[in-house]
Amino acid sequence: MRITRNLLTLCVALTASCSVFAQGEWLWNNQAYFQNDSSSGGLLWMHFDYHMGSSSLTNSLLNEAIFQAEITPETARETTDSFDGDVGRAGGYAEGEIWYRSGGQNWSWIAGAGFRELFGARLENDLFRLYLRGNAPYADETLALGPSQLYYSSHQFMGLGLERASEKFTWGFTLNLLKVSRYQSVDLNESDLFTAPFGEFVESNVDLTYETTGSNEAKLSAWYGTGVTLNTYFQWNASERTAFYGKVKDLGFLQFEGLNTSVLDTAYRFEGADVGNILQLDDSLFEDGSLDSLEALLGLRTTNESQTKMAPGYFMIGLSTSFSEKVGLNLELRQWWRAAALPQLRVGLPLRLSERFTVEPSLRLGGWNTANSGLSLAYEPFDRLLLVLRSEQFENLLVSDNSSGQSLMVGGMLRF
Amino acid sequence: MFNYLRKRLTLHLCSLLGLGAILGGCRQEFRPPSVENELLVPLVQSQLSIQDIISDSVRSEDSDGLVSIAYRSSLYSSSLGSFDPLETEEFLQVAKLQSLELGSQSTVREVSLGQVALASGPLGNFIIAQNGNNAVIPTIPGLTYGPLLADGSNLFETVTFDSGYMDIIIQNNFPTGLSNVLFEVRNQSNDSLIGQETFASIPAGTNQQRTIDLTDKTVEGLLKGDILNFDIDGSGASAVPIDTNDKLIVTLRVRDTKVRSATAIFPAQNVIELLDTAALKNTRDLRGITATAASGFVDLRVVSTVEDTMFFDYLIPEGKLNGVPFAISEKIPPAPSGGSVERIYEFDVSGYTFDLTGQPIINAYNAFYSELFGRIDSTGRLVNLSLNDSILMFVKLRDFIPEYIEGYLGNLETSVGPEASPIDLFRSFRGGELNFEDIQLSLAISNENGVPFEVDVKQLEGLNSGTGDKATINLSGLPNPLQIGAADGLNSVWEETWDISDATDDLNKLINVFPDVLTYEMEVISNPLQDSNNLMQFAVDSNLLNAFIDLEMPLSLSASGLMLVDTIEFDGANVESPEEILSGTLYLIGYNGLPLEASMKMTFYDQNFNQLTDLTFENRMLSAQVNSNGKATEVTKSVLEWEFVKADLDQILRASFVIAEASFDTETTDPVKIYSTDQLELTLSGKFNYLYGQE
Repeated sequence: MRITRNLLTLCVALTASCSVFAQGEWLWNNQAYFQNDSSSGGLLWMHFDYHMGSSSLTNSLLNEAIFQAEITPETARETTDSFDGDVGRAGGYAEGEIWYRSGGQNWSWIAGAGFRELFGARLENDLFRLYLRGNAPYADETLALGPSQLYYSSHQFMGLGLERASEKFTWGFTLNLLKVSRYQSVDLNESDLFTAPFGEFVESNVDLTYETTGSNEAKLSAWYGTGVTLNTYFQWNASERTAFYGKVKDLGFLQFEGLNTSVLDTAYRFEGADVGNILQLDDSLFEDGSLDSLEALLGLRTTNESQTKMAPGYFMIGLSTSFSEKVGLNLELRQWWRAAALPQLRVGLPLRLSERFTVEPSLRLGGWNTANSGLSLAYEPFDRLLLVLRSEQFENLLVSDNSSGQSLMVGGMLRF
Repeated sequence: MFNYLRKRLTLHLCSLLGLGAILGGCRQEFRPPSVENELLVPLVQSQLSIQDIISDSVRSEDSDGLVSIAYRSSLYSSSLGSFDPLETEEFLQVAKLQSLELGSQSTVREVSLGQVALASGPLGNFIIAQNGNNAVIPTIPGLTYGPLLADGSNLFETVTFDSGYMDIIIQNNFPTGLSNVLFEVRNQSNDSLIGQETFASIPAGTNQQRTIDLTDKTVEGLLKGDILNFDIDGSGASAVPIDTNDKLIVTLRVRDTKVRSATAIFPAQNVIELLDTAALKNTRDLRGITATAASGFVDLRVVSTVEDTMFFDYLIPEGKLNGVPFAISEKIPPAPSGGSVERIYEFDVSGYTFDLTGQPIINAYNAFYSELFGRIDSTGRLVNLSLNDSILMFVKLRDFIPEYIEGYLGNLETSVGPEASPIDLFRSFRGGELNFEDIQLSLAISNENGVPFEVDVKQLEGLNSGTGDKATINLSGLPNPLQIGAADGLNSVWEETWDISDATDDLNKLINVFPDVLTYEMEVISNPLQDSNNLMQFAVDSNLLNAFIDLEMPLSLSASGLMLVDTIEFDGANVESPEEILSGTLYLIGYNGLPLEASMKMTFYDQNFNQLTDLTFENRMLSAQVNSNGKATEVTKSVLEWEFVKADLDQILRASFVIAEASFDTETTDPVKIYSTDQLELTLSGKFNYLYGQE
């Protein structure tokens, strides 16, 4: 079974080697899949996009974590045994957006709304090991915990902007108001943990900053912070067959009236609770209430102050070109900020099987994982409607134990 | 394979669509996945030395640090509280009204010459006719006049005098002298005679006084006076001016009265003053001269026949609290006519110090002096009082338990026992063998009171009430009966110790019984010389006569299978999030510097003491390395392990009690020595298969 799945993975990867990139934007999908210009006229575009990847965590583990809400010891062990190098990354997002563009001659106004959940981590693999398996398997070893960063945010937004279209160049921008419903950030500088045999003592050096909003309110009603961001983009049709485009997404800031911040910078050796007379030991040792004193002992400083943070976002540039009426090439280079991701390159090879149907094998490199292949389907049932389905689930479906990224997007555009 | 792919694809498509729908609207919070991993953490660390095992109060050490047990077990203890409460009989202080005063009362009546003339016939008419003229008044004998009415009912209705006087004063303002004046006073109501007096001669312009003795006489408020006879002496040959308004003035004055009974408006006055002593009872041969009450009451029952509000003060001048004498001021309402009224009072005298010599009336012991004062107040009302009226005071000192007493404290012989006195030194010992190189057993007696005693110890035995094993202690070395001296003062203690035995083998037998009680019999005699004239003794309730057993054992010993057991209350509900621990291993890491090796076991029980599970460390904590002198020289490390699964934890968390057992051995039968510096360093750690994040 394992061999079969690996062979299938190889086939899909080969197929995807000349794929076209796909993205959830109204200008470029028509261009990327059908070489059609959609820069004029009114339209409604919506998409849902889910992406997750890790250089250290396998799809098997992510699937368990996300869909079964548990990570089995076997998966954890296989994952940690497969670690290569000292550092791992993990990240992903889930977002949904809906945009409306008026059908102006040159200028159009645009409005939209949506949400995004974003998670990104750059962690020492020892931290993954500690999280997944605990410290007992690593007794008598020193685990490097930092430098590591972890980021998570969740927000909903409304945006309003303008788009200017000319024969060869279209550009636009929107100003977005963000309602932040969750925010968490962990910065762990040089830190380590040593566990003595039999747990006789635990020694750690920790330099940690942890920031978080509350999490008591449901996300839809929670409003822990407010953000203002700018989206701006362009498309330049350099020739009939070639277009360049670029985008800056969510360049701006988040403002929190009160952000819970905990700072810990300590070297600590724990040898167990000191009991003066063990003959008088009773169950009071296990009672609650020791946390406060432990925090004080460790030197944990906690504040809640107004803070401004850079909003998480990305910029990207892309190229879409056609070699013939049937075959094209899509390239995209994307860089996230505040998400612990490496630069990401996506290469897509759109194959126009008919006037209304295109398939695009693709390959994604970088980001939060090393490489991932995918396949996109674009279908125009009639002139005014475009449907796009993109999946990077093949390795996950076939060899989830040995793959580490997954992505799925559905989108649709209605022009009028 | 295709089925597999289809299922996974369907799953992920549904997940994506569901995710989008949820995240865009009322989506659920992302739940962090549960992760099962292994935590290895130290839990508890401690150092166990002999100081932790043996409390400071029973531990001593020599200059080398060799530890000894110096254990003292209380055998017998007796305090002053064992005396019976002291009481007085309810003694009656009958206080009759000792005096009743009404004060001086006077009434004045006048008779004019004209009135007399009118009552004297033709000769009287002559006098009236000469009014305003000078005329010769002839001698007129045998005149009478009356009655003269006097109304004192606004002051009294009736008075019977124990003593007193009524003065009759006649002022003669007639123009001639009077002679043979016979005057009587009677009660109007019954015409009873109060007194009759004769004035032989009252010259004109003078007055004369006669006095009636009122002793045993009853006087009413309404009186009448009659001049039964008087003679007008006449002016002789001289003419005298005749004025019919000239008056004969009669004054009745009651004075120096002592009222036997009266219905009167009495002025405010003291009517009772009674000074007395009361004797204590239940004293046996005790002769107390001073006592401070730990507790006690003065009961006061008052019966009054006085038909007026009685105010009384009851004082014990030499019964003081903070320098203030015991004093009661109360009032009792008027008794009904012919009846009585009763009131009962209770006063706490805790803390009062009483002089029990009875001074100033007597100078002895077991008595106290008290004062009673009664008075009535002026009310303006007519009340009926009599010297036969009384106020009866029933006074009792009740439940008087001294916290301090001085005097001769009595000769009391008490047989004690067979009694069992608990000994907790071996409370945790359940078996095995323990042999000390050297043991000393002695009896110590301390006396904190100023009373001498004699103590005769008849029998002493160690008993393990669980096993029934017993060991009798040979008392032949004890110089019975033991003479116990008196303490010199309140803050000093008389104490002496007598060796009972130093036979190590015998005493090891006693110890290996692991006695939990000592049974004993003894006789205790206070004041064996019965010197009852010695009133300088003292006793304080909190001061004791104590007898102790002293056991001293240097910790140079050998042990074999010595089992110590302790029961600990345990509440598993206090353990935080235990359900997340699936299984694991507990490690007990020991660095043993004690010359003993040990094994440990804990057994968990529910509320009804049904066994749930046990925690047994399979291997033993090894002894420290020991040299030829029995001294520990090198620490030995041991790691004891106990593997458990969640079911074990679940059982532990249901537990209400834990019985902890530890078994100790020395490596050989050669004795080892335990020094104060020897210690066992312990770390309890755990490797837990822990499930994070499960809801």
